[in-house]
Amino acid sequence: MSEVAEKIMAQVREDYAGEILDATTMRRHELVFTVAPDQIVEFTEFVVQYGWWHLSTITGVDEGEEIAILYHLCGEEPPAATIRTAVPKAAARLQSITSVIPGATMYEREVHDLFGVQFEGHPRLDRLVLPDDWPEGVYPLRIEEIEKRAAKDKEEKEENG
Amino acid sequence: MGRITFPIGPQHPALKEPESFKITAEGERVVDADVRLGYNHRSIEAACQHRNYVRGQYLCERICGICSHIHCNTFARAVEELLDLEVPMRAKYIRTIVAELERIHSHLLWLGVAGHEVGFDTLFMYVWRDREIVQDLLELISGNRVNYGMATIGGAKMDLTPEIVSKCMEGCKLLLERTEYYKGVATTEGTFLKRVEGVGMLSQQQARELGAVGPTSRASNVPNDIRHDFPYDAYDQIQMEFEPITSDLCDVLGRTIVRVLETEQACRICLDLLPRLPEGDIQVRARPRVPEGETLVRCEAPRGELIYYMRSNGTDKPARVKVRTPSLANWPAALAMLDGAYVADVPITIASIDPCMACTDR
Amino acid sequence: MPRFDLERFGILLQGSPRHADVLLCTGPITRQMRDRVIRIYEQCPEPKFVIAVGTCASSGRPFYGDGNYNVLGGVDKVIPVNMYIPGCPPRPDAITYGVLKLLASVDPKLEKLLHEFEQTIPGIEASVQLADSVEQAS
Repeated sequence: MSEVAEKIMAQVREDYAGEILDATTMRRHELVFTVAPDQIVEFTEFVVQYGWWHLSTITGVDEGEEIAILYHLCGEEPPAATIRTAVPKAAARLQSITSVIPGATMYEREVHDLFGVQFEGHPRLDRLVLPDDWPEGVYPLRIEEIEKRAAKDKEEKEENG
Repeated sequence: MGRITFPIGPQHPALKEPESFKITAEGERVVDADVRLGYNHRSIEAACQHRNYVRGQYLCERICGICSHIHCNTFARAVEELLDLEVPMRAKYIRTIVAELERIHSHLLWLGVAGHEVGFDTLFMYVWRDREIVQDLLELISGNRVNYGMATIGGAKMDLTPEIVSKCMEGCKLLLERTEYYKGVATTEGTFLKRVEGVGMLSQQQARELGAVGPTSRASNVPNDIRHDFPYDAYDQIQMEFEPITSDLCDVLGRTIVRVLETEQACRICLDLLPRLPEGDIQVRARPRVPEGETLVRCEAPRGELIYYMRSNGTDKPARVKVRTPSLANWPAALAMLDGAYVADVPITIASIDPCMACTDR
Repeated sequence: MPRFDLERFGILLQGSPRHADVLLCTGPITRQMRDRVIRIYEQCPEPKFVIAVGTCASSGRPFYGDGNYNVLGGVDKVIPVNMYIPGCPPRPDAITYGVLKLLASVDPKLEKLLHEFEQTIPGIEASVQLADSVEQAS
């Protein structure tokens, strides 16, 4: 990690009033801060004023028991920051950050569509990429669905030879 | 006055790709606009988890036809970061040159389509004739007009011989002349200006809040350009002056001028890098099994910031590939621009963010 | 003027399927597009032809199969196709040749024009594939 990035990481940890569960780096230009799900809006507001004002995207990753939600932010120069939080798969709900960053609407809709995470406070949590006749409750990027499809593909390949 | 809601799409003569708009108009003014995406959703992210990295790169390159190289390149960079691989400098130069040629091709394509959307078919024909210059160069370098496959995991696929280098330089010099002509058209041609001036307004604050990227945000005076802020490949080797091109017009004319000037800048970048191609290999060997880790890479596609998040789990298939294309980022801004616009200006306003539905839906 | 031109053969691009004789389809068929493609096909008046342009329109690959959940396959999964023009992407010359070859298969007067076109680009015959049934017309 570069000196600049270390200093910034230390500064953020010092200045933030709430609790940061973890602060590491991910490769070259990226600092990663882990917070609890109920801190997400507060921490995003804090970090946006710190200079990381542009939300690049929101990624969902299925980690087995939990779904990790990563908010990728950047400013005008390195390092950039990623805020990481995780929600249990059985009760996947999170507060929406559209009150802080209005541009997050599409990204939250996508994570809702593909992973089934409910974003409370989102103005309109409709389908984004899945078709109209897609069955409710089936979230295609969750690991169970991916394994189901892999098994189906294998069956089809064996049938067709 | 009564309100009427009418659909545009998913198939419509004004649209090049399927997307469905619901426009609510009061008289001639739009009061509400909504878009339904997902007609082109090909489940790329899910498919990447079933395929190894080489097949995944082939698939991700085909997310979009116009910005295919930048997808190929960014995927390769993400895997190289996970493998801790240092790509030879010659390969970085080649990747940068192809990326800039692709930017020229994409912006010229957009300029032609914009001309067609405002009814200026002569501009469309002229620009697409000049676009053949850069298509010929790309075919000379890689063998194909799109989907070049020039970035492999570990370097570049094909080398640039001295003949190719000199042909590229000739082509770029010719394109510089033609771009001068289009700069004149964009700024002084009265019929064109009447259609694009004051249309599709997006203030600087809106552009920042709604997360607009690329020429859409740069035309609203937001100077973010990943090539400048987070340099990658050979962008830190450019010797000429290289600043993001911005405009404070905040309308479709501003976006036109930004794209034309970026085409000129891209020609100059190629002319700067081509004569200084360093000697050396163009590839290093990459292991098929990628150790555990995660990474995030950003780049500046012709339409804006493209970001790939990748997580590996020690096998030869990725655990997660997340692609956020610039077209998806620009949709909230596009819908904000339509507020209060004339119905007749809807096609050119939507076209001004350079929407790529294939990129948006993945 | 642009280097590749279909209009010189008397072919015009139309905005509505109701004014068209030939439907050019690109890209694989996704679940959302399926009904819309069928409806557009039904809106074309008889006699009509369908050309699948591109490898993904011809077969759905590389998007179809291996983990995808939204792609049904190529265009021929939903509507009958008369001509396949594979390629990723197919060259503009191949697309021109494909359209000409389809029209020449129903109108013998165009055969001479087709042979002249074939002389200009050796080997172009291999770049397109006429489907077995072209009885839509007559």
